[in-house]
Amino acid sequence: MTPDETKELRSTITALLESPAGEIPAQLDELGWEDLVAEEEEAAITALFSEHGRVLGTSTILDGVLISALGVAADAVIYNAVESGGTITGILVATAPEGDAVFAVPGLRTIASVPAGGLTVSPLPNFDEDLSWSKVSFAAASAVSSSDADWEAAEAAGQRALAAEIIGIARETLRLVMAYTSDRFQYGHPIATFQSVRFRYSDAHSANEAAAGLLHAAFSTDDVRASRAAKALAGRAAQLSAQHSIQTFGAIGSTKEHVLHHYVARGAVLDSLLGSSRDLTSQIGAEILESGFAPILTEL
Amino acid sequence: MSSPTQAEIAADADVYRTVLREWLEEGHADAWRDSYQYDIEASIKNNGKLVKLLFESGVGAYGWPVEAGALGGGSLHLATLFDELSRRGIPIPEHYGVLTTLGPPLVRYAPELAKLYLAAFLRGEEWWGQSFSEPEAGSDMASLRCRATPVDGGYRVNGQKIWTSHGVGAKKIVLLARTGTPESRHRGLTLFLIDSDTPGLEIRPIALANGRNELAEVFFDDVFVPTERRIGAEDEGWAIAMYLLQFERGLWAWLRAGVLMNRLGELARTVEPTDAAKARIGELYLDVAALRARAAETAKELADNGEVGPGASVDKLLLGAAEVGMLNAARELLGDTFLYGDTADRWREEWWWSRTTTIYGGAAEAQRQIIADRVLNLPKEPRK
Repeated sequence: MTPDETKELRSTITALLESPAGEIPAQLDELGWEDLVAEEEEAAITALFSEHGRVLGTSTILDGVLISALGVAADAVIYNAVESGGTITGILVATAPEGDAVFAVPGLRTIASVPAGGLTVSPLPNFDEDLSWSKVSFAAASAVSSSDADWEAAEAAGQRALAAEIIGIARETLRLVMAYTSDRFQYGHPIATFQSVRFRYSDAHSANEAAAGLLHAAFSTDDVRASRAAKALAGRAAQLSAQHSIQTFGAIGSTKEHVLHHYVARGAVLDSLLGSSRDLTSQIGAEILESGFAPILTEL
Repeated sequence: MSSPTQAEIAADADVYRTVLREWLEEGHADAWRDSYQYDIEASIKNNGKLVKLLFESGVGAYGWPVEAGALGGGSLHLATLFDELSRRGIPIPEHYGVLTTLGPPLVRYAPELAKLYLAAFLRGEEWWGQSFSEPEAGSDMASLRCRATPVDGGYRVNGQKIWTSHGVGAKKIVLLARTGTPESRHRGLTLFLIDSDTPGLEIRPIALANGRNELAEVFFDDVFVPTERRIGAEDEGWAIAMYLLQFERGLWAWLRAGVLMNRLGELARTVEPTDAAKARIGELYLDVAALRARAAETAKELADNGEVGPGASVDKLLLGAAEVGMLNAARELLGDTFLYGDTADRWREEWWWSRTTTIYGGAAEAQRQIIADRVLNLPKEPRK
């Protein structure tokens, strides 16, 4: 994609994300999104998801990535699912369907056909209060099969999308605080002129760009481990940006009236989907300890 | 398919990779795999034989112009060489570190000097030292004072340099000296290539805390340098030094990422798979993988455009963090094995060396400053 085409794509997406969240998937379909992703996955996914992060979007586009990568006719995705005592419990980002429904359940790597009335839905108190995700459960017997779908590849696609969204959030967090401290004075100088403050921003920027660099590499390889690593690093970067922003905004950054908390909370909850930074990092470490080799995932 | 010609290999780093890989798979360089030597002079000497072998067999002669006695190709050929050596678990000879940064500016700004002298370096027969820092000019390089005064047919150099890597045994010194007034800052600097056996030039080793003579100080007492040993024009030294530092951000960071991937595997083979080790090894892996991904882009940008922007300071910060992080993890996870006994010599040695990685080539603090000023465009720090 040429720089001009990328720019055009970005402005199309910015305009599109101003629509109500519920209409966004249909609008993407109209745009021929699946074809675009098939041709230009990196440009399309990074543009859509980083912008979705920046504007604190609440649509179900992540469901779309997983379902389309799986190539199954599912209605929605259930995240962070666990099975216990014959019941599967997890998080539903989409609105709960009324009738019979088919769910893709990454983590357990299963497709579940749940008949009308078979889904128990309860509200999910959320660190991010803007999100009306629900807690859902259904009988494990509804889980049909893991089908022939390539779960590894689908989860990796979801992880890349999430990494892009988390990086979008982290960059916006940093942009907001830098703008604020560049205008606000203490001791007669803008806060952003003090070295201790500037260095925090340089570190946060480096962490964000490290994650973006690894994500770029993940888009260029079929090795799913690169996508896991990129998501793990994105989660870590967002935490650093959040930490430095909260500190240097001063007390205003921890208030309800200020916008920052939305970004901090969104970064945290997105990190939990499809493997948290902490879990993925340990998983990667465990594999290296097991094999005795650090895998080279990216080429020149 | 017939084997590619020299021109085809020089024109395409991917073709080069295939040829190089085939050669390495024949096992010619495998003797260097476990050839680690604590003594640095012995190590450089032994690795010099590998440089020579690579060069004379042809596979190590790409990445440098034909005019300099090599076989052609660009910096991506060098990046490919480092990558393939690392992948095979072969140590990267110390020579390539200095070559990677000193070579490109020599080729670009002093092609006639490159033609005369680079080949001996490429053949592993000698190595060179870089003398930029001074006791009172570290990250603030523009304040250096070592002076080159014009005389008939050349310059007389007087002053002192410090922190020259592998200075002991270096056959030539690339010197950044002041040719302008003391107040000229970065405008009055000039670069020279000086034979280390020139009368009046003395190199004294500085041992790192690990006992290795990694560094040196270099004294100049009325040292004569002929005009033809000037790299670039008089007072052009700063621009050339900045050009040089770009290769450190791109190629050197890439080279080190390959080495660090290997060391991470070695650490993983040495420690117990505890939960703490899993988390720590995983974190390190993310750091090194991100460094590799970023350095690859910077190296490509450098190969395509001949320059990289201030954003490459990010690579430099990531490099230092990965180097320091790796050795801190080794110390933590190896515990008593790191501290006592003779099985962890190399980890201990590298632990001390790794402390220099956030200092050389512009300290991490200077990189943060560059990022804050030139990438993030933050309002400038108040200066007294």
